[in-house]
Amino acid sequence: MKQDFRMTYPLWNMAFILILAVMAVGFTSSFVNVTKTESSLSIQAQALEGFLLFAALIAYLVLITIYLFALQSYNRKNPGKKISPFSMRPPEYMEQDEGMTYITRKAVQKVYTFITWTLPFFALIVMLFPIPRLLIVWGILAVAFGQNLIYYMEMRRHLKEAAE
Amino acid sequence: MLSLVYIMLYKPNILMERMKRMLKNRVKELRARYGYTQSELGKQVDVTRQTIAFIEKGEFSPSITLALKLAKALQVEVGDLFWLEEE
Repeated sequence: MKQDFRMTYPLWNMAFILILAVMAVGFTSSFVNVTKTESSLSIQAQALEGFLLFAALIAYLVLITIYLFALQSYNRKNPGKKISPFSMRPPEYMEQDEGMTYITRKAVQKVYTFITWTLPFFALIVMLFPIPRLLIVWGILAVAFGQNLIYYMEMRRHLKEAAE
Repeated sequence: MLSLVYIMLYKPNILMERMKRMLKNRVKELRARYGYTQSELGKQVDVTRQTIAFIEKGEFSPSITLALKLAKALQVEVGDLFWLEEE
């Protein structure tokens, strides 16, 4: 089960989200706004943002290449349960029988509960406080990261119990 | 962060948890009697090894169809394989 790509898929998602969080620094210009009056600092901030954006883009491309190779290798070894990189359905769902469907449903229930609580709370915080754009993007990415983490931990717990 | 910890510890369905505790089975005992591994028994009834493990641990209550298939594979009546234990 450790070799099952569907099990490790949330980890890939989390890695992509972390890179997006770094990339967001480059796309949002909150640092420049803060130091607008001090031109020298502004230039340094822009250089930093540019570097982070470039580094994140490279990291993203490298990770997506590794991901596609890993996916291709998994599909070659498991012709009966191929995963499409363009599937609309989350590939991490493990529903090959009723037991696996049961634990997937439990994990999804936990994720749903997390989203139900977190998104309205986050929307309220954004409405009440003047939060910079970068922090809003990081907040959304944190929710996405949390959702993957909850799903992965729940599935891992069940499958670890089954392995004992 | 706190909501994350809360969700991790959250039990989605209390009724299901109670029912799980009530349903007992002899799958592990009978499987051992016939010398089947979890994978072998799983293959016979067309489920994964993990599902057999979940049933043996009482983590998951199988459907009637699967319970009947398991009883057939282990050559017992379904009532001798699964039963309810009153709380």
